Amino acid sequence: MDEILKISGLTVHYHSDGQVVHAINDLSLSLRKGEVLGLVGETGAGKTTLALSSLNMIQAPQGRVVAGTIEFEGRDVRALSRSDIQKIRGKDIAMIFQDPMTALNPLISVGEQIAETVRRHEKCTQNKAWARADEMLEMVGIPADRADEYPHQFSGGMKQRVVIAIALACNPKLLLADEPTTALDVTIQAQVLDMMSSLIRKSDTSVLFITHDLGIVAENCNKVATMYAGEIVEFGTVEQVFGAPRHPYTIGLFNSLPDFDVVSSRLKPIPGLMPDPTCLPEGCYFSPRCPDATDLCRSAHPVDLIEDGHLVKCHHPGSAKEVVA
Amino acid sequence: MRSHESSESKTTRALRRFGRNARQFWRRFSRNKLAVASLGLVLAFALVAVLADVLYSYDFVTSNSPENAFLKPGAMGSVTFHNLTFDHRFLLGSDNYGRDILGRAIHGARLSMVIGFVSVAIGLAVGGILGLLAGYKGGWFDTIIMRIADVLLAVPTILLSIAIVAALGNSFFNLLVAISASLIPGYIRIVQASIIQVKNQEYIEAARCIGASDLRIVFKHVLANISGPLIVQSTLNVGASILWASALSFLGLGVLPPTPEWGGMLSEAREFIQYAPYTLFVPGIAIVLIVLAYNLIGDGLRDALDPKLKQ
Repeated sequence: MDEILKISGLTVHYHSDGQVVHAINDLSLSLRKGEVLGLVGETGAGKTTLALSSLNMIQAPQGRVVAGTIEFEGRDVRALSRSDIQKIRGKDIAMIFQDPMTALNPLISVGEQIAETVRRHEKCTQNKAWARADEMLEMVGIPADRADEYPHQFSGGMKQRVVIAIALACNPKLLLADEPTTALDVTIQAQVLDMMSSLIRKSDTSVLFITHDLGIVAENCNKVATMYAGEIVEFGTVEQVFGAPRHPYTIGLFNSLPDFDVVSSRLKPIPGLMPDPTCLPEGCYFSPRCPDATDLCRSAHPVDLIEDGHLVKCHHPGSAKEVVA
Repeated sequence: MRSHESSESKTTRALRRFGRNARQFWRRFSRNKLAVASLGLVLAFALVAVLADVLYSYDFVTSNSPENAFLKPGAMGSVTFHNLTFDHRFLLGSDNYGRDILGRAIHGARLSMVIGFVSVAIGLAVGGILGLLAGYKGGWFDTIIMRIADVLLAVPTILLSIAIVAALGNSFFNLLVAISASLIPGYIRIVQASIIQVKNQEYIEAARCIGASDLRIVFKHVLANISGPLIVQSTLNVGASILWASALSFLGLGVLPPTPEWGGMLSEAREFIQYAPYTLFVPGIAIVLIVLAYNLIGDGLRDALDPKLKQ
């Protein structure tokens, strides 16, 4: 049993103003022990919702898990009692939030915020928890004597490192990193990523790494999943997906990256916008934007095609070669 | 290298942090000289209120001696009290029943302080808990609580207090109830609004994410973050409830005579405004000073606690 997280048939809806937002649609995904899975997709594809549902943190009454199961180490997180799930949150599954500016309580010193997590999950004295907090701060490259300072006394990059220290304080088995570097500038991004990957390697943690940045995925992950309109449209190892992407959306993502070998003045974006999640198109959700869409795409929803562990949800996959060229 | 934190216990660290925060707070607060002066004034009033029994005996300031009526400030009078006759200097004069005005004002300060703090404490506790539940839970509970608060807020505060005292009858306890009750809807509103603002912050979600329980989130993360506006509001409310208590007593709905109360003293003295105006000055000025002082402290606290003004 080396699957640490197994999501099957997950469907999540948000209700707002009498409309139903289809945030996640019949999504299945599994993550093995020690794997780092990069989850890419544009804003609104449901990436954060996916991460939150693994913690059973979809907020009622607006959000509701309509169908599906989420198993963490073989246990269904939705069936757990409130106190059991609270024991898992922060201890076995930890989350790194996107925006370090708002993810820390402004009135509590950073050391205490780390110590709080430790105290919550490990039976130890205050002094032990604080010692651990100091240790974690040093580990993420912040001098321990700043533990008594408050979030506003830290820079953005340092705050994000504090957030990471909180997430890693209890040696989680699964880390949900929700765009941990999006709010940071590029030089700090590199520092934070280096630090994260070395910490992850040391502790053998499985990671769900949510990001917009394909470069980060290539460097840090073993597996990639592309998400579009609440579905995983392509899934495989980094070699498979980056070497020969098969879904037109993934291909479009690669095409929209600047190519430094060719001098060109314009990028090639994917035309159109994500479909409105309150009324998804019939057939393939990507068909309105897809350059290769046929009548079949517009009428029937594609099924998962799996070839050698490389999954693609498309009627006409494999027009990959032209991208790489 | 990392010697200091291992040798230092959590308690010393917390104390050090507290000391530093207190110093920072005081530095910001003390920039406002008026607020500091007001704080001094309130402390002086509080000290006088605590020492009231030492300065003047309660029985002395509540018993009549008609022969000493309307003595000018500083005049000597001969008082017979508990079968003892002695000379007494009426520093701020005497009222129509020949009672020492200064003594009555000092005992009145005690009453005002008690009313100010107790009614705010009750209002804050009841309104705070209701607002907290309404804001954090949301849903139908929120709707019901908030609509009741809206209805109560639609009635002018003083009318609400008058109605409550009129319904329950005159007594010190009922006065407290009336004033606290009229403070409650305001607190419900302010707490509910602040909680809704705070509970959607990402750090609350983050706290839930590290496995904190609802109770812990409310008390450790939410409450601390709304304490600023609550402290300011409460300071202002202490002043306001002292004023209301005086107003109700002035209308004859507060504490019963001969209990010394500033509003009551004013009410009794107003008949003699032409003959002996000094009988009005003492309670009147006392009310003005204490209410003004609380308002200025409230302003000072607002400036000192508002994170937007932090350096």
